[in-house]
Amino acid sequence: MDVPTLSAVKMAEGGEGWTHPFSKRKSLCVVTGGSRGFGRSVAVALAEEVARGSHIVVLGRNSESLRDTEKLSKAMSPHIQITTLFGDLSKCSVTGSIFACLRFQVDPTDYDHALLVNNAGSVGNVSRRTWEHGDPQELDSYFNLNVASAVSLTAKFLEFVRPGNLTCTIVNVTCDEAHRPMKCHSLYCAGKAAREMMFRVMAQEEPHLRILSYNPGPLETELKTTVMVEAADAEVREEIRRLRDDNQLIDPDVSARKLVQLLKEDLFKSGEIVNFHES
Amino acid sequence: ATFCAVTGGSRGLGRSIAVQLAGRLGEGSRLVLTGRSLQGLQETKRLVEEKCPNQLEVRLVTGDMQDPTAYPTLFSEIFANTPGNNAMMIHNAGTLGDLSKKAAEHSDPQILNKYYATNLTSAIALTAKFMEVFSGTSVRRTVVNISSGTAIEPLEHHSLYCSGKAARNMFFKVMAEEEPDVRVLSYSPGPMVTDMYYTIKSCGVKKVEDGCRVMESQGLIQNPDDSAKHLLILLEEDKFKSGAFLDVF
Repeated sequence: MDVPTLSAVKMAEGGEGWTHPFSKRKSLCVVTGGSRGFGRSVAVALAEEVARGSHIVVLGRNSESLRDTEKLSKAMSPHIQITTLFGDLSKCSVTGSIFACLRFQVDPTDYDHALLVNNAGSVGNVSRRTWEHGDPQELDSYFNLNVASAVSLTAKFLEFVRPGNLTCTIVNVTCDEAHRPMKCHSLYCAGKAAREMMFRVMAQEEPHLRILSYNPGPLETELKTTVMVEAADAEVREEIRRLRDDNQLIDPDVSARKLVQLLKEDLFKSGEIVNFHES
Repeated sequence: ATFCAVTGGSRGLGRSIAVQLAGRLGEGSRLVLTGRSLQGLQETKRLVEEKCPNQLEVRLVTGDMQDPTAYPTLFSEIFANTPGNNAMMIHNAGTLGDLSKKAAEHSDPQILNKYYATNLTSAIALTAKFMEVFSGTSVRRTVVNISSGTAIEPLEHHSLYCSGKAARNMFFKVMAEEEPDVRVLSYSPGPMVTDMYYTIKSCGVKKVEDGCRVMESQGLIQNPDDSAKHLLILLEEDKFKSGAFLDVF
């Protein structure tokens, strides 16, 4: 059974008195992988939209880059709080310590809406073919960062915000490779497929949660440049080069603003996968 | 002569596959079975040898895929002195994870890590070893990923299982793209009368248990031998597109 969103009902009623999750409601937002790339763009795009008194928490692995994200986000709005947290999500112990730390700084009952953007991830060693992934420690570390941490972080986030009785949205940043096999990307494809499925199950089990898997499109980021240079397969390198040369790579700021627009409209079906390119 | 390794061979579908393979592998072949229970593996071996006495060598390797530090020893034992110009790897070992927990309740990363180690990392690392041992194109290589309908369709209370299977399907699809000389098949065996099924049926979650009862009333739960037979027919006919996901129905 489809549970209509408050927004959808109010839109259907003629749009009067419609408030999206962000307007006039204080949001507590957590964005992972926020030191650079898409994560940074999302933090900044959120800073532009969230109401006064909101709080954006940005997680990342690079302290200096996190400070830059903080500066850019603060520049968007002086009326919100920005917190940066350093942590490497490829290590099991980090998800627990994030919330242990936040408990001292954040009281969920101060907010009306909670948002978690699971963006942190890596593409894996693209210079390796499927049969060269023989190191179990590397594989463990990869799936810790790209799958387990997103799942456990989500569970801990939900536990953390429960006392506040907030409305809650969870975003999973996904990609084409969750469905489209791509050479040199066996781990990336596997990890993204696992995440998408995990969040689809979650959406079925938790009808009161708003869950969105967002595909930001092929982005113009350091990640893409790495693949273009290091991928073992010439076709893969060429495909990315072509995307870049034809201006098909998307500015992460533009894609992030699209994501925030989707969150504002709040019309997506929970568990759905939405692409940047969809109108 | 064929070398064939089947993980999770101590019971259930793994046992059925091993028994169906007996007699089809050819003179001088070797069948390696892995599993956690030596007793279970020995029983599977007995059934295999009963079916085709003196035709193939059955080697048993006990070990737990949950522990990645044990892989090097485990894998060396599996692939010691391998014969043959045909090699097949059947990734059948798998676990369900804690069915009482919903996806939003999986807060312990250690538990998640162990689950993906057992169900995803082990199959990837073992495939890497298989390909290293049987490198070059003179050996005809086949890799089978025992999958599930839940790799495609989400199932409540099965978030770990669904996500692990979805990940495996994609991994092996990429493998098929990269290695056109290797025959790669993801096979969904359908619901079967196995210990895994009984675990699901008695998990304490009413929705899940009711679902099992409905399937039973519709006669959808098969004997694993039948599913194993269907898999072997697909392998023998060899018409599948490499990387395909096929099911028993």
